[in-house]
Amino acid sequence: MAERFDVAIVGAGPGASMAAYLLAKGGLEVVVFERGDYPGAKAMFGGVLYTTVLSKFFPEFPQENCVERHVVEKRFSMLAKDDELALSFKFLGFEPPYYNHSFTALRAVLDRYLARKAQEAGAVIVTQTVVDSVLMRDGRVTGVRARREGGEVEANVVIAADGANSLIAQSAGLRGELPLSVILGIKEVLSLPRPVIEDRFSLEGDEGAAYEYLGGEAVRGAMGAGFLYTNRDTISIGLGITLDSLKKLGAQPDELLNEFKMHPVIRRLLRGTTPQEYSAHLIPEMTPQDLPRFVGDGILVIGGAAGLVNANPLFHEGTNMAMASGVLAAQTILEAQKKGDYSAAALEPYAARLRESFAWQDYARYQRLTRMAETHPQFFAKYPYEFAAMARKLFSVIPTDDGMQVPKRKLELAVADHALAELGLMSFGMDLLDAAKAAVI
Amino acid sequence: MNAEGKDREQSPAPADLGNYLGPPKLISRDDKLATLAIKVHEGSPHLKIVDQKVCLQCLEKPCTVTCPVENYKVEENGHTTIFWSSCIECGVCRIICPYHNISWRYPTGGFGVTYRYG
Repeated sequence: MAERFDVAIVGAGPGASMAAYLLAKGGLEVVVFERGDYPGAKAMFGGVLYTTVLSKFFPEFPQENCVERHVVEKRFSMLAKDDELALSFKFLGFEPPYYNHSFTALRAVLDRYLARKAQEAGAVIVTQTVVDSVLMRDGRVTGVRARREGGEVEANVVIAADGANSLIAQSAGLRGELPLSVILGIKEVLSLPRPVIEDRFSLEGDEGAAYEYLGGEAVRGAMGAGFLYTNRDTISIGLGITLDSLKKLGAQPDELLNEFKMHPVIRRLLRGTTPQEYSAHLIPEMTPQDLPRFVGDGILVIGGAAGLVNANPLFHEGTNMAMASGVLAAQTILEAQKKGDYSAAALEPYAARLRESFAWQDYARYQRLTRMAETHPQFFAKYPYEFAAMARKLFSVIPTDDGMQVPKRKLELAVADHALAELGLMSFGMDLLDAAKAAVI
Repeated sequence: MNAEGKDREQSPAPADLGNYLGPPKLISRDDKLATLAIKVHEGSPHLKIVDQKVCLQCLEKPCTVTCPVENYKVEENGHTTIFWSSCIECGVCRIICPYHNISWRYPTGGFGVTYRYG
């Protein structure tokens, strides 16, 4: 006789733990399967966590050591060979305890924190256990099959929360293979003492910085971006690059990361650091056509498994979207429980709520920009270099033979020439228009 | 500091900061792996090449350049070897293989990579 729960959740990430917490509080018997030694043991993100959902349910989180630093600077930059052109936004006026709801974090810490909350609410967390597939009867999901003796567990509802690769969504027939538009994220966590981090990045106390590097020398001009985030006494540095462009580039990802770290601009930020951990993970960036169905008979798909990310370097969101989807999944299941109906039709409100939420709206809006970028590689391969070159021309101070200086008018003309000849003012204008169309329509 | 700014060069960095001015440490693929706790499930590879003949026909071999821990190597006889015991379970090879020729599953629970930071 198989064990039986009301809800079986595959994966113990932040979305799963939000769902487990709310379901357990609602009186349901919940089991959560985690394949690692502990929740977060197999997880990785950039990462900045947006804490709207977290603060709603766990308002005390800033005092409970689950996050690193609150972000007070977002900096966007383009790297050329020796030059950097950057735009920084500093926001020091947000109030504690949540500031601007943007905190740097580490998943091995955050996921454990959230799973403990779910456990305290009554959910059963089973670690070191892989779930390979769902159990199906008459076309509906009736439970999960864990890779262990007596591993068949029956449940009224299964939540696929097994992240980007989601073999569970696939095994339930809700999705095909992942497309090459998905992104490989690689990261190193580097140690650096707190006072050095705070001094180097102009931070006071628990303030943090989030630096993003769009295309250009960060990723050899490929479709991708670099990032650098400050944690308490470590720095997270890494790259995200689509599998498609990684394949075309033909470069080892770990070598790309070494190149990025040694870029003259980045190198100076990383002085005295020592690598503590290397990691790699997929970011499930894909078109709406490639997304899984969010509900089936007896199953819901949440978080990265559902492809809910906004991998755009402007925002780099995903974990908060996963947590939101976990909340919405739990609400829907609690209603379904009252009616005793777990069919796809009964679970459909989850998909509807998701589509009304910021998670879907932001995904839908920004994935169009990503699609546009796929057909406009010049945003990564050309413009970062040309803009840096124009800045270099404008700001070069050039002596003349008579001990005087080249007048600014000449420099401006050189920039204008560059804009016409190298940048291609017309085609750049058209590309900007395409970007605006993708973002607005 | 005098007017000519001479002291600037000589003024030492604060002692504790001075220890952190050297270039960042770059580490090789092997050293990157050494930062990780990987529990190997001996004798139980979770990754396998389905059919080596398919690899022989594959010209691009994207598995060999996209794996973030460089676990795919082509032998002299053209066969592909997977160093599965140093896999960090990202899933790239599963998607990148143009012929879906890699049988891919997660290591059994409790085995494989464990991140301390993530």
